[in-house]
Amino acid sequence: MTEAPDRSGDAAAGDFDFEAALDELEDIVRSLDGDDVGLDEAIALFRKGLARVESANAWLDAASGRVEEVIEASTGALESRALDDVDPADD
Amino acid sequence: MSPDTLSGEGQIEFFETPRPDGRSAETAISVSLLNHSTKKLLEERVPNLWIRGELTGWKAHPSGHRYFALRDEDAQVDCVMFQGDAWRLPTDPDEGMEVAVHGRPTLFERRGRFQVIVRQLEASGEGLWRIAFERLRKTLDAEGLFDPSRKRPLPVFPRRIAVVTSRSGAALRDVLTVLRRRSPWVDVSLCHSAVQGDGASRSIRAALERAARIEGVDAIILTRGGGSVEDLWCFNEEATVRAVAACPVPVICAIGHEVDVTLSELVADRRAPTPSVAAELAAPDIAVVRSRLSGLSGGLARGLRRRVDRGRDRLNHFERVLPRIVRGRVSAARARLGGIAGRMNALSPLATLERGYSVALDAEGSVLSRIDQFASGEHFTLRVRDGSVRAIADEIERSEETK
Repeated sequence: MTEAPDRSGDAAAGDFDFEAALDELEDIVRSLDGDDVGLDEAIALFRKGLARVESANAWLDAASGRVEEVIEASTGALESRALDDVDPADD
Repeated sequence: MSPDTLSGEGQIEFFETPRPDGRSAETAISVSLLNHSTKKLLEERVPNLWIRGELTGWKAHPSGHRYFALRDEDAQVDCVMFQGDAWRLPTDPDEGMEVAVHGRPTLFERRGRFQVIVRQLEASGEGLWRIAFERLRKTLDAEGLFDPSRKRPLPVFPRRIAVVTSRSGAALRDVLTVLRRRSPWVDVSLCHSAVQGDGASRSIRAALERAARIEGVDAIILTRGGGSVEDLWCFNEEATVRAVAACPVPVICAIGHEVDVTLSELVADRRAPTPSVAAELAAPDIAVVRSRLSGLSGGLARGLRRRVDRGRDRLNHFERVLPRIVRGRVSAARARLGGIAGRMNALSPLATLERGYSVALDAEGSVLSRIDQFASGEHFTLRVRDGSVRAIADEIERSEETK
């Protein structure tokens, strides 16, 4: 069983679920430690896990959170606007 | 009619209509002038004072003004505290409480009532703040709002954090600096709120409610920097505290400096000593996240190696076991061979030579035992007990019994 590295959790996808990737990685590591995993399956799990690690690291490298102010419009709906003037990046 | 008449030079001038100076029925002054002049006199002569006494007849008017009286054994004075000052009071004082008020004695002109306009009111002893704090703390405690079992765990890996604070405060800067440095992936939503002054509690509640409505928000940081007891009081107001307790999203609360404890912090899911620490609690450090990742990555490698090692162990096992089996077979074979050799010794040509026989061998050392292996005139070797003899076949004759 030689499956191609799974790219479904690729960091390029905007809604990469980092925490889910970590959970999945932990499951994979646990499975690898189990006795009932064949060698081929172990290698496939290892590859899949490695792909997850790469995606997660790439996501962390690229991640840049936004800072915005949330106000309530007259309609009652929430609106957000960029909050540049207090961005401490210039400190 | 000039209100300055009484406080003027005291000169009486004779106009056609005598100026009122109150010295005769003809020059009697009006009630308004009396009250106005008296008020002016009082305010000019008597500075702002601290006055202590026993409080009585406390009345909170719907307008927000408070009316009461101060008294001692022999005297009593009416007091008023207007809404602009009264909102600062953490709680209503009790009847009979010993208090000190700071204010200005004056006259309420319309009723001619002597009164003190109070700007500040403090209970002697532990103070009104402490009394109000303890009173509400007891109530909330009885309701179980400080119960540790109410505290919700904070998200392990938050993606969006709402900050309820003033958009111009140092607390916001501190929170943003820490989050940008340690947890750069986190989206931050500021929900601006007044954090002190009249109406702050209402503003905080509205901001909390906004924050909880933000889609995907994982945690809320409610914070402000240090300030006076009065500045921080809005975080001890019952409405604020209850809003924090009822917030559907986990709240981390950091109000004032570490020594300041507010009831909002006590009902929050987590309390932090400063805004920066609140931000640290809200999201993990990227270094920790990376090390967890590399730990998992190491776990993958170790897992695979262990799996491969298990395979190799089995191979090694065979490697160890097989030679033993082979050796066993070889020595068994050797033992058999030894036995056979012993038995064969008797049959060995060498033993025969010992007995005086010789054996004919061709050039390759093969035994020549039949006449058809010889050719007349050809060389062969004759092996005897102590050496060999080069010989030539001269004549070949088949023996009688094999003919």
